[in-house]
Amino acid sequence: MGAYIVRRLLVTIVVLLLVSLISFSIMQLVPGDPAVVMAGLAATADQIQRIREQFGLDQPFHVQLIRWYAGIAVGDMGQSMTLGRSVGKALAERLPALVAFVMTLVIGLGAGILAAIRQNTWVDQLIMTLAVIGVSMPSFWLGLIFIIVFAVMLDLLPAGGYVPFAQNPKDWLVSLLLPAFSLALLQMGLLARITRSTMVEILRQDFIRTARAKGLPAWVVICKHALMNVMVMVATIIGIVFSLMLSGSIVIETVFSIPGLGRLMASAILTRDYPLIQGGLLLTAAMFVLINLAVDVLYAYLDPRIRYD
Amino acid sequence: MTDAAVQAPALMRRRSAWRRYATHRLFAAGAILCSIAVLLAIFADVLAVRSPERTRISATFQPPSDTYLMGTDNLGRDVWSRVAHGSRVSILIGLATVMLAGIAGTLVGLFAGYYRRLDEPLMRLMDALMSFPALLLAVGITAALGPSATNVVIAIAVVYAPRTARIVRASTLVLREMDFVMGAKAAGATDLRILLRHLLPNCLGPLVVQLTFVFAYAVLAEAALSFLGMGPPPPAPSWGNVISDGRDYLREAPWICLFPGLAISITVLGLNLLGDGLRDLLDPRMKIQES
Repeated sequence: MGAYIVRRLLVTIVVLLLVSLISFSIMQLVPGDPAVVMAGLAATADQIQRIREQFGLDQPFHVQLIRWYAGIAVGDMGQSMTLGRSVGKALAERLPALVAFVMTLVIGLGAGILAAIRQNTWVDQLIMTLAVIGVSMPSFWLGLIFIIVFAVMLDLLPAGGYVPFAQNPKDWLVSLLLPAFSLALLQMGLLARITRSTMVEILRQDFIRTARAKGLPAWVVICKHALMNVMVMVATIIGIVFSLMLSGSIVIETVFSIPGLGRLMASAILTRDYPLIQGGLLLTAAMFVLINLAVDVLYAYLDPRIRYD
Repeated sequence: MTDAAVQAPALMRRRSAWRRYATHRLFAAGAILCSIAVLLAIFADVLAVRSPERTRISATFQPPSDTYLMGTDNLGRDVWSRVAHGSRVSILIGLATVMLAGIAGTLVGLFAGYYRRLDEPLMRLMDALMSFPALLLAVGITAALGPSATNVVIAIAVVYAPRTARIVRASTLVLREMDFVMGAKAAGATDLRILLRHLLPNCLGPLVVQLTFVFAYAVLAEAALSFLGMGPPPPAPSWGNVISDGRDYLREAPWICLFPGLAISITVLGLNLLGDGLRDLLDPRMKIQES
């Protein structure tokens, strides 16, 4: 177990280094001079020069890179161009609500398990049809359709905006209902499909047959014997679900005007706020890598076969 | 034996393969939906005679009717024409992404799978690229390169090539150990020949399935990028552009957003069904398990 964790940790460090290098290099892709792009059309030569000095763009690549790393080591990702404060602060203030995440897990898992238990019946077919439609719709378009139906036509839910949890928990939930659902539908579909196929596989195993043969009630077999194994599989794709959620929140938060990490990134990109883009890329990718590390270690702990491969 | 006698079983095999594909419900449904989108793109000029870019001040915000099948937008442009012509941009971007991500991913996957020494560095790099939230990386790349159709393709391909590489590598790792590869080596085949003539054809099944899904993701990603203002620049319509334009008029004219979104959903649904169908058909193991 110890050796496995050490090996896994080493790989993680290599990947994190590459991730940070890619995040940093994004700015090198900008054709021409990033300082000119950042300064905008109306900038004078003087202003451009100031930006160049402020962000160290006049230094060679390796000096910029070392400076960036030195900053990260002490938790400083540089200054945001447009927000006038540090990138770390701007990102930390806006970690998005996790309502969509919970929705995905509960509904996606539930639907997948139900489909597997009622395999090849109309329930299964209905759920799987909805799941494939769910993964085929652009989430931001679905959000717009929800606004038309629930906010404009039925006048039931707000069309956008965000109420902080501390201010009013009920309004907070109401304001997040539509965005969370449009964001979660894609992941729900994916999760339901994967859960179903895993569950179908597990239900065919010998130990399930044994459990049934010794006369255990169906729900005990499903909930105790089968579900545990499904959960282990779900744990391995948590990282991917999380990553998809962040992707989707960029557009969804723009549609519903929610001040989250996604909208912050979207506006950073529109205003060419490169330090903020670099920081956001690094932060989200690092979260993904670390979640996967945690999942792998947990997985090895739960399933001894993994440790000795 | 005559030629005809030799050909007959082969012909029958081919015919039964056709039948297998045509009667597979997922595959058939997916193929039909995809053909609709492709035909729309090819015959956009014939099907939608009005120019997608011409504005008419006298006919703004017309609801769907006999004259304007899908209504008109805030500038009086015909939404049906914009959806029909937009299919060209969306589908061409999808195709170009599939080619670029397919070629890059296949090369990386083959090399990583075949040469043990390249495996670690190449795949760790792919892991790093896959660590970024897909859309965020695509948006970041287009933001740096500037919004244009070509840059959108490059950005989406960078995001999906690693996922393709991983699948090709997995197949290559298994194939590398097979006897026919050793046979080819013994017969004096060069590495390049082994890679391209012996390994690649055997990876094609999973690769084609993966590329079908890459196509679907590319159509969705193009729409999202356009929506964020990072897509191919106006006035040329793409599905994402049209939705983005209609966003400010949700109350007065919901049809502007509705129809291009439906077009995206139908196309992506078709591609997903096609991919699912192909996976069933190309992987006999799955078939046995299902029945």
